[in-house]
Amino acid sequence: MKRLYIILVLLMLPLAVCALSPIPGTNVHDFAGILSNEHLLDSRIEAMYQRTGVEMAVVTVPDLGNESIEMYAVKLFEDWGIGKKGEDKGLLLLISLNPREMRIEVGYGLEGALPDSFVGVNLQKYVGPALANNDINGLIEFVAILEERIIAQGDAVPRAAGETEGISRYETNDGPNPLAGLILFVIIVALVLLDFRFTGGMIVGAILHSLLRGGSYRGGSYRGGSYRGSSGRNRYGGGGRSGGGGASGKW
Amino acid sequence: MGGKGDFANIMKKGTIILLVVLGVILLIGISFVSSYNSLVSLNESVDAQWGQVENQLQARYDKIPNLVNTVKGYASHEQEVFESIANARARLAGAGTVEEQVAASNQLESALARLLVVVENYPNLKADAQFNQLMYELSGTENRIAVERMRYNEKVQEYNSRVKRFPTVLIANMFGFGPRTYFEAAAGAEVAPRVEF
Repeated sequence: MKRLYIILVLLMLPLAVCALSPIPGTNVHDFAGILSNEHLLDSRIEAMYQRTGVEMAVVTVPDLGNESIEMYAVKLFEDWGIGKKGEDKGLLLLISLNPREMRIEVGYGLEGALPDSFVGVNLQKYVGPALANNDINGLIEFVAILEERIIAQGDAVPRAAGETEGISRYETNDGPNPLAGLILFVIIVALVLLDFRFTGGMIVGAILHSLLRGGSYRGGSYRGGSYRGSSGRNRYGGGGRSGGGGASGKW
Repeated sequence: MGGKGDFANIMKKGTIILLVVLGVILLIGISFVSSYNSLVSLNESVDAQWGQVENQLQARYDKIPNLVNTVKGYASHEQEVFESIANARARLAGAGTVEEQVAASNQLESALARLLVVVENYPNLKADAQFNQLMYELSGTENRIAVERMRYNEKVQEYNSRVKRFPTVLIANMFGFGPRTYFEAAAGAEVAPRVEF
């Protein structure tokens, strides 16, 4: 049984490693090291979160690894689960250094308040010049414009300061009925004991073998697993998704 | 004295063997039902994701007349492009099956790509605020189609590999679960068209 567990862990490992993990306790994840005074941007985003309940991540990456910035953004958004599941009120500003591209990805729940043309025009107007001149104020301004529009469209739900997003929410997936599970467990344990008593575990071995061969398709549980155990404040992991809404540009 | 004990032993053994056989049948039954249920729900999720794709195809369909009219205002003599868009759009409207919809929407996608090339020759058009807005919305819609298409194909892959794998293949054949069709993107259209201003 222990060996089985180790094999399962090894199977999950490559999936967890290739995912980018958010830096705990901040909204600005400058993996490319191109921003300065990020804490100003971080506290502006935090203020927006308290006034509107909208989660936003700013992420810079050195490159996009052969992917278009659009696909990179939508995968990262889903991977981190920005915004709450079902509400999907999240924003991702993704900036790549090589190539010099930028994208604002809008969660499903904000597509009504933030049309592509609105975010596209303001991305060009504020974010492009801010990156070219290494001026964090342009990014702060961009956040303020988004916040203003979200409030004006009536999509804001204020939150208390310091309220964190549910990592636990992520784990309350619809599971099977616990009583039914217990009964099934008892039956299976009894059968396994009988099997070992009479056939030396042949049937259990065969079943385990077929489960292992067929088990790899259940990929769902790795998502976000790489940061679930990290300590500190973490606003993402709520399970929010986007569907390609937003706008891209060069800088 | 041995006779009675032997008989009891045989009875006991018989009961245990019966229990084991019953248990194995139960296990097979459980895995049978859960395979069937997982096929049903995977099949449903493929349908649901196709619905998402259709929504976005419809959104693109609805945006085209506005865009074409704006472009016509500046580039009225580019008749060939306008016609190919109109044809593809009509074909999409008449498409019934998933295969027909995929073919028609790929045709529309390449017609739109040609329009974007034409647009490059009209600086005044590119400076038009309304055109800019339409282009952001069009490229947003193209990107949404690409995303929902990717998610649809992932679902189809998950479903198809279940349908073809032993032992689920037995249940799939028994209840008529056939493999589903992928949404293959038109060549060169894996990346949504983007407008550069």
